[in-house]
Amino acid sequence: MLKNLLKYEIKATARIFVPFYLFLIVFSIINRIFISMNTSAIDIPRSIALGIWGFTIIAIFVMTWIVVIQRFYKNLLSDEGYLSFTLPVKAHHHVISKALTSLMWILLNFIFAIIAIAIITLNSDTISMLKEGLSVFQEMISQTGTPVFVVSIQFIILAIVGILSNLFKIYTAIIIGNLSSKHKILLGLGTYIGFEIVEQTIFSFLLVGIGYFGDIFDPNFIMHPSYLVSSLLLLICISLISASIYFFLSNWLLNDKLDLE
Amino acid sequence: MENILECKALRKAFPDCVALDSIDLSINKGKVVGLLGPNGSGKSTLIKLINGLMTPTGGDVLIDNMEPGIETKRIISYLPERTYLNDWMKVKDILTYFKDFYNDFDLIRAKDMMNKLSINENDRLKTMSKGTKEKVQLILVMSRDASLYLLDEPIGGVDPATRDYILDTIIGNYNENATVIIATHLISDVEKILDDVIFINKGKIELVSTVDDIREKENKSVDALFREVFKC
Repeated sequence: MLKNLLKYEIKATARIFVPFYLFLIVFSIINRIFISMNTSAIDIPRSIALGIWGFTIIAIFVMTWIVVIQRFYKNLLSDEGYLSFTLPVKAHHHVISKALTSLMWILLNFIFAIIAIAIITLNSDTISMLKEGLSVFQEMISQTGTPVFVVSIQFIILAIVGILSNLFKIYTAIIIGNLSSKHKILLGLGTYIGFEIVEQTIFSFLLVGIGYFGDIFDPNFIMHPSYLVSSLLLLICISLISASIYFFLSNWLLNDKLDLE
Repeated sequence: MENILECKALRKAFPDCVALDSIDLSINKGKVVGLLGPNGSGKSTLIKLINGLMTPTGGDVLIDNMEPGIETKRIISYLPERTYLNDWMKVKDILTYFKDFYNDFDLIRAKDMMNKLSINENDRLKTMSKGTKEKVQLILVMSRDASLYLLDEPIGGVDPATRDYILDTIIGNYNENATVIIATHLISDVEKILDDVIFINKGKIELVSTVDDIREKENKSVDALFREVFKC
């Protein structure tokens, strides 16, 4: 059933995202052509085209979060919820299907943004600049004594877990907001800000703690070869914990506190 | 006879009101039951509790001896009093949607009924009138071979001619072991298809009876009795 939910979730959202991606690619090609035409006669259309192009990229990222919120609320907690919650499907499968689909679009956003930038900027000069930058980055990482490969994988995992945690946090805030009969948006927003404050507070205490005990253990612990790997690992663990808390909280609320009006 | 539905001291309270107050109720398999009451009497709340769309404040609700969950959702076919269709879909999309999620969905029966009501499969749900959407929903719900049909105001928004078609559809499409619960206040229209009636008012059960008993003992139609009991 999770497979079916995913199928319909992707169908429902693809009709919003795919046209945007197509538009972005087409506009990137138009920009590329404009830039390659070396004449000041098209200065104005060229800058307009570039403006629209930049605006599209920003719009895609902003729109994604609006779709995340709107889709969750509309499909589960408004009228459509009467169908969604009478399907023979576990509540957490609804949450998982929505989170995985959103994650997919967010990652695709980055991929398409990179493609769009590449279409406009890629030439022999920028490629060599890119190679140079990459080797500088590799050198920086290897100076810390850790393989670049490991750190890159860690960054990717951290990004994915971080996005999921944020999605579950938004979902939980929406569900809690919906518990209020009159001030749904206010309570939802307040809950989200509350979650952020709690997270930031715990995180700062953790950093201070690590700094304090790290100093006792070894005053130069920041220079330790395993410092980068272990701090990334710690961040991944923290994100995993918060993602799990929000996931179980949303699941519990949908199972035991659901009251569709 | 086995019960398809059982409520024990079922209670649902909201911050500003008590919607259902200690309901005890059992409904047998194979009946067409009218859940009758004025607006705001608790009909929809009871149906939502049976569906698992709401969580009870107290007491139990059992469907085929199970608490609301995936297993009960498999055997309940529910028609809400509002439109629950995804507005981005076409009729044919919602048909495959039901086919994908409900094993007991009869696609051929549904397509046949769509044809009879001249609903085009390529029409978008978004552009349909409210009445047509209600027809689509009813066809979807009645095309399942469920054990329990919960129909909340199934004839509220359609014209009298369609009303008859809908009632015929309801009666013609359920097997004899299935139970149909129809919540409505349009009693004269549904009276002819009911076996049993439940009168509900202000969150309490006022009366449970067979239609035959009302006719024989009280010498009245259900509609007349309802008007008497709920006289303002």
